[in-house]
Amino acid sequence: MEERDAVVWLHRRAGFGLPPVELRAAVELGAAAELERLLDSAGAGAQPSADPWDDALLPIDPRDSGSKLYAVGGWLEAMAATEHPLVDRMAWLWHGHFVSALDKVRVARFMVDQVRLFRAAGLGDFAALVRGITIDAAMLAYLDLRTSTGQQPNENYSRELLELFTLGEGNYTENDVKAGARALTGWALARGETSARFLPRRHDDTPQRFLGVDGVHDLDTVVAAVMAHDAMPTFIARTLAAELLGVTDDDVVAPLAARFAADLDVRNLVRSTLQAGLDGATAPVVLGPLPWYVIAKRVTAATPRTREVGSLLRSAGQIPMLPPNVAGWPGGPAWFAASSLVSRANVAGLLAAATPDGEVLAAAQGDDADLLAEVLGLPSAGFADESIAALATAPAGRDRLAVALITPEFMIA
Amino acid sequence: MPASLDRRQFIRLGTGAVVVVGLGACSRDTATRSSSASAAPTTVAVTGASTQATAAPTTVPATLPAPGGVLAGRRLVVVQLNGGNDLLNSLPPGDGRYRDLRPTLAIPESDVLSLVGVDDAGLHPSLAALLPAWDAGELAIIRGIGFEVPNRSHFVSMDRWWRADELTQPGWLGRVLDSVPVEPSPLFATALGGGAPVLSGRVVQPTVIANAGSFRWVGVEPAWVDAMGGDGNDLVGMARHALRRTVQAVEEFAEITGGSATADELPTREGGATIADGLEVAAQMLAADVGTQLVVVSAGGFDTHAGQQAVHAELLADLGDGIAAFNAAMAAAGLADEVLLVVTSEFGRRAAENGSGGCDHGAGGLSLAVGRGVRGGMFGEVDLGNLLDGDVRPSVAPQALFTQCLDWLGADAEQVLGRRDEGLALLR
Repeated sequence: MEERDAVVWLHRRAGFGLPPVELRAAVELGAAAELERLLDSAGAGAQPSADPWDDALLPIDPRDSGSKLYAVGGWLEAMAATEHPLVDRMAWLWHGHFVSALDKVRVARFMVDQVRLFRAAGLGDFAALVRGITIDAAMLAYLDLRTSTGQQPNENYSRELLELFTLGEGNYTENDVKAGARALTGWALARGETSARFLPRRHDDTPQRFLGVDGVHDLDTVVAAVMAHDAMPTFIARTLAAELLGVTDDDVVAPLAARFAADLDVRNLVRSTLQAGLDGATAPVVLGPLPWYVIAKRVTAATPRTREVGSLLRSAGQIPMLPPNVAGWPGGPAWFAASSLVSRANVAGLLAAATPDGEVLAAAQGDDADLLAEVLGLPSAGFADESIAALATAPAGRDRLAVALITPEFMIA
Repeated sequence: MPASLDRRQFIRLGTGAVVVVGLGACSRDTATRSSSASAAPTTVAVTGASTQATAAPTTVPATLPAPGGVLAGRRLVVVQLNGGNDLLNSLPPGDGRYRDLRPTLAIPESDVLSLVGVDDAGLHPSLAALLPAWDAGELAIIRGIGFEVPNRSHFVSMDRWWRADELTQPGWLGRVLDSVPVEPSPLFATALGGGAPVLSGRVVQPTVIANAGSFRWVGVEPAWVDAMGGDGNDLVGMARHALRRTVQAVEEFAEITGGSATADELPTREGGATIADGLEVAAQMLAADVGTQLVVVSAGGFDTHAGQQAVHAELLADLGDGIAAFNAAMAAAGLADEVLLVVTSEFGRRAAENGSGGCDHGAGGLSLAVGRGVRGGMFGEVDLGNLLDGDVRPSVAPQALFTQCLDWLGADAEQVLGRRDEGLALLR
């Protein structure tokens, strides 16, 4: 991959894009250095990403609706302003994988704490992440573990842990689901509290056979058994490859899975996955409305009203903290549905209207489509003929910019 | 659609019947039709299969669509209840074991609505609006519908329902979409309230309208969007095609709903669509002359692992009221003889309640079929003394319901599904 295209690729796949000045600086550094910078800025010892929320504005009250808007808006702002794009892009990935949703969880503070977990632990030890998300308050509410007792275990979390989060269909049995459910009983979330408590009287401590391992009876032994399962590294490696590379072929995924199995370290998995992409294992990926929006906002430096944007992203089918179901968001051509495209076009209008004077707006005011593609952070192939024709149809300036943001070239990474 | 897709040819025969000769991946073999066919209606093979005027499968209903036109004017509405609708509380059984299994959740006997002619089950009070259809003999209730070997995962079970248990194939209605001889109008196949894989073909996609108010251009002119339309087999090509069709769809939808394709301001209210909302829009689309024939209305919320009582009652009220209003709208539009509405869900719920005031994923569930073309009655069975691992044992396969729907549309169920399932005879 040519140097500029490699840097563009990294930032559109594993970051949230860069405005023209920063992109040029990144190209100067080169793709290899930029990859390390993305990974390093997420590394131990670096500053943690700024937390955008004030807990005083997030009461633990399911009926409070203001906090919901605040929670979602805060995350949108944090992603757009992030100085650790990989941390935030991976937090977004985990949010779509270890799914919880505000409509069922109801307490915005719980969803915020879950995002904080993904930002803090999303690039570290995978076992710690799985342990953390299992007893995360939002997850306890979303998949009913908070009401699961030894007397009447609730299978919901155990099933989704195995089916959707770590192993995939065909790698566990119904007995494993039941055994996992029993072992994971006992976690409670008292009213007014934000973190789970373990109540032995609600726990079934009977040793179970779970995923071929005997003596599984609690959270730690459940997590250990999942980590030890042969299918787990492949499942996670494939999940990341699908998102970051758009490629899930066995010959690409197998070496990534093998390396991941050795240390279960997510940062190392991301490094080897992105390296594979830079080496050619990549296919076009449709940017969902959320990453597309954040990239567009960062590249244009636009400052639209978050509330309006939030409403449109919801219509486009992807608002943070509200995945449609526990499988997360469907990707790919599913995003070309008419309703989603109309909503994106309307977001593009808002962004263009709120773009400040600068290189991007200047390029949109001119007639040079190649320059516009460049300042928007697109690969060197630029716009195809049909998009160039569309750009010319729109009046120069903000209208042209809005059109540019919904070209296939901008929507597909 | 990719530009390479004019591999279908269109043969108009002397009888005026329309037969599709499909080439390539979308159909299985070529079609022939006897030129001596009489004027009496016979099965029109939409997807292309050999037919003889004299051969007729045993459950082919007497009233088939008249030959001519895409799907011969018949309409199908599928209401998809996402999450796994609880059969046993929707249709409380008279069997005393029901109350043992559900000490807190069983619907009180005095609240259960009687169904004329049925003595072993009744209706959840929230479904009262369906009683007129029952009394008119236009409501078929199918209980214990599900796959013989059930899967209690939402996604696997939904996928099996969508794809008639052939998981590498497109949705069963999507296969019908793929086989339509000319690219139909953008609103021919519409999914309201969310995406609908059941309606997605290998090649042709439905128009998805999540929410009516948001389906307008604000701050962007449709002409600019249309200018970047195009074709191609890759993602970019698909995006271009989709952009152009979106322009068309918005235009048509605006006409149907009496709105405008553009607006100066964003919609101020943003609400989740209910089934009743979706069916209202479906009725408007069907009544308009924009070629809408296949509609899927999706709604979630049925995954009642906890706190089922109140939530389920609300959901069922929305469902029942929505269907009743839809029926009235179809009658007013003179379409009642053309429309079939079916209700599906990916599974029922466990017979016994759990410790959280709800029920976990189960097996045999509930489907409904509503319309003038329906032979009303109870189908399938529930035997609480013969449960399957604690779930209602499936007694009717989903493919049986799909076969009836395909018969209604005049499509060839054997072609679409690989084989007919004669487990239900729902059509008059």
